Amino acid sequence: MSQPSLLPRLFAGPALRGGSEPYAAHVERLGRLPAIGSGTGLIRELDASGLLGRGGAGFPVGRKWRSVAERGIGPGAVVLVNGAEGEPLSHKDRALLLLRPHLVLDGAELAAEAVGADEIVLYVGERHEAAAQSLERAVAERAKAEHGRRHAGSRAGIRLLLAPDRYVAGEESAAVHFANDADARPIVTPPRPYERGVGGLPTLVQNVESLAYVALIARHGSSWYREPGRGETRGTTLVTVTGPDGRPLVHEIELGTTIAEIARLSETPVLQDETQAVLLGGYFGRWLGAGETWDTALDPAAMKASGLSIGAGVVSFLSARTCPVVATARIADYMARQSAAQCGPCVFGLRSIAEAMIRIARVEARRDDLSNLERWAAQVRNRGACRHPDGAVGLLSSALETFGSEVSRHQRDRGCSFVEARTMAPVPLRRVA
Amino acid sequence: MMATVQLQPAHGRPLARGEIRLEVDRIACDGFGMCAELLPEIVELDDWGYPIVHSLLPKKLLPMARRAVDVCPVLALRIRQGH
Repeated sequence: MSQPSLLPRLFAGPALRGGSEPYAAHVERLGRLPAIGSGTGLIRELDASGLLGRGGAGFPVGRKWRSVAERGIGPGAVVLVNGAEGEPLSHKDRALLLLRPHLVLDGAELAAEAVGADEIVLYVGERHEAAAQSLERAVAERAKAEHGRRHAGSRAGIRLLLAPDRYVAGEESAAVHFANDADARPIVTPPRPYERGVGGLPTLVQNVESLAYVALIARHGSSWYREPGRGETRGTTLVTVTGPDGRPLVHEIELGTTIAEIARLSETPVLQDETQAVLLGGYFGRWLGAGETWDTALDPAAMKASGLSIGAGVVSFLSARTCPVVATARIADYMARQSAAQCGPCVFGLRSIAEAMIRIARVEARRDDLSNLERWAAQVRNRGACRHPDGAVGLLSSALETFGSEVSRHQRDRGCSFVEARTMAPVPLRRVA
Repeated sequence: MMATVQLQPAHGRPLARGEIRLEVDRIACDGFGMCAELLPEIVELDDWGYPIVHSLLPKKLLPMARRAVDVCPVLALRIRQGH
């Protein structure tokens, strides 16, 4: 990147192939956690840093902490460390937990201290076994090393929960629901987790990457965090970049880095003329034509202004040889299966949408499939207890826009311009009766 | 992903004083459709029989909305008024 000396930050320290950084090395490198006194000082520092949540919604971290810290009088609060990472195209959370677990735990302890929490719940996707083991080991290392002179935040009890392997398990209310009732389906809000969450207590639900950055901001300050960054949003972020070969790589980048630069990051650079489209933001995101998006800067504030988001930091390249209609149908199918099956519009809407999209992909479309898709997308939007249906139809709408001519080729001419139908989603296309 | 829960849109915008809204608990709703029968002015059903509440509740429909709340077999409806 343009200022290579500023990076890496989360992944600074010992060689990454060495696996988890041990606690002793972590403390040697970064020092112990600074005492934060009253929590409000750190929260002001987080406000000043402009750090945005890295779970996908991009909510300002300082504001989120304040909403829990400034709760009404009453005992107790909980910090829920969210490493569920249910998005199939994201790998950065498990990479971070595997390689730098103590940054995440530092952030969790600081959060517990700042919001006055008595309990830290670590919530890690059950499929991310190495990440969960790394975190569990790290907790044990700290308990052993810190006996007798613990950081204030570490007085909070810690429990580790394995999040079920489903897309919505990482959604805030689903995570709280799982901690309370072992059921990782979203619940109707309000009350929101910051009002009433785990054990009925105000709960801060924060993504692992956000907490890891907090660990560094608490030590180096907000101006340090804001040094890199080329546009309005300052700082750095983790991204998962999936090339046309389907191999995901996690990188730490300066915010404002362009898609073109990201394409060059992997060992085998992704070339624009071999790329048809870019999926930004994962399965909740949008398809964009490669040409129009190649110079797009990954700057959350600038992207928001044009209706875009990197979600949890997902950039996925679609090969020019892959049929985008098939790729979209696979994602639609996946999202329908991943419905928590609670809300009618999501259960039936996403199923109908996926079936129509699969028929179009297979050039077996019925006459009204395309018009139905457009109507259903509008009907489903905003009508779930969570944002699962909205995310699914947002991606679908972007596909209809970006791949309009290929969609109508499938629908009207019963043909496909692509020989190779490469998979994007980890599910096989299903024959629809 | 989706770390921040947003309110259901039906619950989303704060109501101004005097505004009344019929809200649907999407998880409880089983698509019986009685709300659409009683309140066709503001409720239509989607292609699968689940209610779409497309506008605020006019005051004159309040008695009918109360009836809809009472007869919903799964008690998925509530009336919220702005203060």
